[in-house]
Amino acid sequence: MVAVPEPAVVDDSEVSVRLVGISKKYRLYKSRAERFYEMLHPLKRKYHREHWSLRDINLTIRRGTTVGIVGRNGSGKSTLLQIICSVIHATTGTCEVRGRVAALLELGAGFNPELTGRENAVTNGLIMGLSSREIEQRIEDIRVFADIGEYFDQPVKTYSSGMFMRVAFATAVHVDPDILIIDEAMAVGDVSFQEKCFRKIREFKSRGTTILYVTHDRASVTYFCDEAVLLHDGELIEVGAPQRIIDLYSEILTTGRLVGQAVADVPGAALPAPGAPARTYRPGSDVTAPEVAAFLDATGSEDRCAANPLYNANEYRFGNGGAGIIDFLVVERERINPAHVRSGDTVDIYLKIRFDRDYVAPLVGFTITNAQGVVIFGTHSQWLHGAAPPAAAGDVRCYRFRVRLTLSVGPCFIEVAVASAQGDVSDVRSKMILIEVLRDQMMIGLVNLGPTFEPMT
Amino acid sequence: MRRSMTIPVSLTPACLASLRPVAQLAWRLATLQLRDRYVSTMFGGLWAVLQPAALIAVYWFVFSYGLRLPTPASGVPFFLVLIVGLSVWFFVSDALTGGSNAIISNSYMVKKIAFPVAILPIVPVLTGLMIHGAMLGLIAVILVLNGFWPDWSWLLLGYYGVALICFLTGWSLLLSALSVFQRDLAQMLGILLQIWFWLTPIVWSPDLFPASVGRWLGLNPLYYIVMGYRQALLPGSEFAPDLLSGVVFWAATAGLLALGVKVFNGLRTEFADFL
Repeated sequence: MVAVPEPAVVDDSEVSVRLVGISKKYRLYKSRAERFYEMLHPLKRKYHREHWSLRDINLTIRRGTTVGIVGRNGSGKSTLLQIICSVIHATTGTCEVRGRVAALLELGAGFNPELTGRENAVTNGLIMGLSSREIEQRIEDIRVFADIGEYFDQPVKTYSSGMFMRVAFATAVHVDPDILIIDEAMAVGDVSFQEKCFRKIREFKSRGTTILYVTHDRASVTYFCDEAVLLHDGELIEVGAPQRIIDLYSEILTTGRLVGQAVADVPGAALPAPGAPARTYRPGSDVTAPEVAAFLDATGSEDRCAANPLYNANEYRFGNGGAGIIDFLVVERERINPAHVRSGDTVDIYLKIRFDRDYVAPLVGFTITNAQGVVIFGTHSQWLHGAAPPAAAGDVRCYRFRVRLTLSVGPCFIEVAVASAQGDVSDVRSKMILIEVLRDQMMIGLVNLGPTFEPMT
Repeated sequence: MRRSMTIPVSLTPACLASLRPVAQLAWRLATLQLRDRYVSTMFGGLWAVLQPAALIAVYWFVFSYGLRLPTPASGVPFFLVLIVGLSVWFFVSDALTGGSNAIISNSYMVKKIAFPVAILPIVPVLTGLMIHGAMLGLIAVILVLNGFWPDWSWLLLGYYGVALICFLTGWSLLLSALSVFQRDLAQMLGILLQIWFWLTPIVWSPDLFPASVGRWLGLNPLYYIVMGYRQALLPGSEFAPDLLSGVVFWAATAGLLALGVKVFNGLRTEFADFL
């Protein structure tokens, strides 16, 4: 567990949202009847189990900051936002919110499906505290911003989820909120509307609106937010710089927990026994990280792939045998097995292969696919290097690919394979490695072509 | 920000001004609800008239030809006595049925947006009031067609109308909050309304009973309203409700309002969790 630093003392006039000791308890019953018995029980017998969605959250948000809130599903993000919007009430603690709040909680913030988009926009405007006259003045802007044509005057039940979100977003941003709360709403829009939303949010930012932003899109947190908050199992783990929080979050996503320092957990990193002869690597080797040295030096021949945090248990393995991939290691500078890398980072992929028969020139390769299975890139040792040194039965050899991931794909899979020089496939481990190349908001597509721009005349 | 809305107790100008957007929202929700109810039907708002008209026709037929009730002493046709009583009942039935569903049927708002939830039980009373207003307009026309011209006593309708609204608001607050936690309440309400209808002098006249029974009729708060409406709109002193029934009514209304506000405010914070 990472220690929560004492929150910096914030000048009171600068506070936009202040949460002190917020906890939220839900009572879970096996049936509706149990709840009723409990209400009526003369001896106040308890029938429920308690579930704490949030525990002792302390958070102060300064006016005008954009705060990203991340955490896995069920970590309490939405509950926290609902409490800030005062849609639900905290079991303990105090929540102080200053200014008009516009919230996009999940989809369809309070839309009646039988009414048209226009009618819902007007009602929502009234709910958010505008007068009828103010709404009248803005309804045209809302219609234009939503940009869904004649559907604006059709019942909301006929909408696609994208249209729904467009109207909800358009309404929320036109009530001039002091605090804008967005809960994963942006995920459903198409790219051009997302872009429009981000532009609008940037406009709010520059106007000094406080923005709370819940998302699973990690890149947008680093790109947009001044600050980020990590929630895990209802507890606030840390508040800090977006990049730092995203690193912690990625670790939770891949390992399900926070171990703090990863070195001890690197699989296959058994340190060489004291006194064991130091092994010599290939001339010109630039290996410096102790984890990598440990990986190269480990001599076991059992399969340890599954112990790697980047291992994907849903891999598909096939091949004719003769050699097997028994371990791997991914290194980005000093980061060992990083759950995510930035677009353009160079990573080293180390593969350890056990040979059960003689290979004149083993052929080692990898392929990168995106989550939909589209092959983005693939190559092998023969193309890159020519014939690899021969390997004899019983050998355990390590190989390294170095590749610059100039991609923009989000999560992607790396398939690794070993074959004979004649192309007889010995072992293929499809989708064995799962790594995320953070999607860059500033471009679309699968690859990052590294463009630049300058005005010339 | 409106963190929450409790029922205001002071009537200072500032307090009233702060209520203005809330009132606008309540009015908007009421008109939308009215529209929503009929928007997808072919005859639309006509149903708001056709349904009560059918019921009036049935009762009128049954009680003036089938059961042959004696004509009241004042000589006011039974039909007129009937429709005035029924107009009250339609309002009561509309408001209470709507009230018991007020929070449940708007869970999409309660769970998603921050707004003064206390508006929701007021909305069905407002919706009912709109229909009730239309109905009273219709009754006024019928009265005039029958030769009963508007009289100063019609102004009493304002008093009885306000009294009824207070009574129904208390009920609606109570029912809307309780029904979130006990869904059987809506079913129970159906039965209660059935019994209540026949216990109230709507299709029958209180002078049918001997005095020993008749004096207990005033314990029903609706007795005061139904008789009051008739006192206001129809000539004839036999309609005037007695003082005791007035005391009973206001005691019941004050109790209901207090209980409704207390229960509603007590349970309000739990709505979003339970829905």
